[in-house]
Amino acid sequence: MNLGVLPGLRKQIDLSRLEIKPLDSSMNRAAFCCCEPELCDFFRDYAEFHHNDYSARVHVAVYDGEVVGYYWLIAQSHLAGMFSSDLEPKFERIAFAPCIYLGMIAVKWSLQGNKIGYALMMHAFGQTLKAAEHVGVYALTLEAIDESKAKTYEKWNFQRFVDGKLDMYIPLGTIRRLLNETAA
Amino acid sequence: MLSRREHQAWSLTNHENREYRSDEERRFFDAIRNPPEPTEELKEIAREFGRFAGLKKAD
Repeated sequence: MNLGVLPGLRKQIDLSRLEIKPLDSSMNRAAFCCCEPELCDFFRDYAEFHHNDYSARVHVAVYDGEVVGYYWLIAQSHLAGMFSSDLEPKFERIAFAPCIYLGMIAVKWSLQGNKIGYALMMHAFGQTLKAAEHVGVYALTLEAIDESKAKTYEKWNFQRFVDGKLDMYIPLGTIRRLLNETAA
Repeated sequence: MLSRREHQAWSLTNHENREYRSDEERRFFDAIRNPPEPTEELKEIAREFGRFAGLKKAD
């Protein structure tokens, strides 16, 4: 979202008290608003269903008992047929490129600017790496909500699948190297 | 007919097919085979927020 920052309206938080945990039904989703209708509606109306159904896995950022952000992940595959024939040998016996898709990442509007999104992204990196210990994964993918966000993600090693489009990926190997180098 | 929820679930996992040019395809696979070094900006974020990834350095 790109609403201008209104001085005085946004609250500063102590990030040491921020927690990220799986969504559960006891959490109040109704009050969540990030000012992006699609992201708000998904969280209020569908997130719990998909999480409980395992069709997506939703994690939330919680601060003082309040949900202040969320993201979700699903498995995704890019069919080999979408790629040119000269690259097919690289797939060996695998007919698709397995990826994990970061569906949405959203932060409560009144707390934006506190870098909660950074924490959510790092958590998503960690979850992706954990999944990759058990299931083959080539990359974490996402679709940036707009060009401005895409440019930010490019600074974080995400590359565009198609020039000029908002579908992006970061190779699993880059995530692994990043977290191995900087792990506590 | 799919319910609204079922349709939403379906649409979560069925993205529009993308059309790749050969150089874009190659870029993807080259990046997978030879993952780029994390940028300084990303490293900085990881140093500050890496604890949220929940990983510990191997001994």
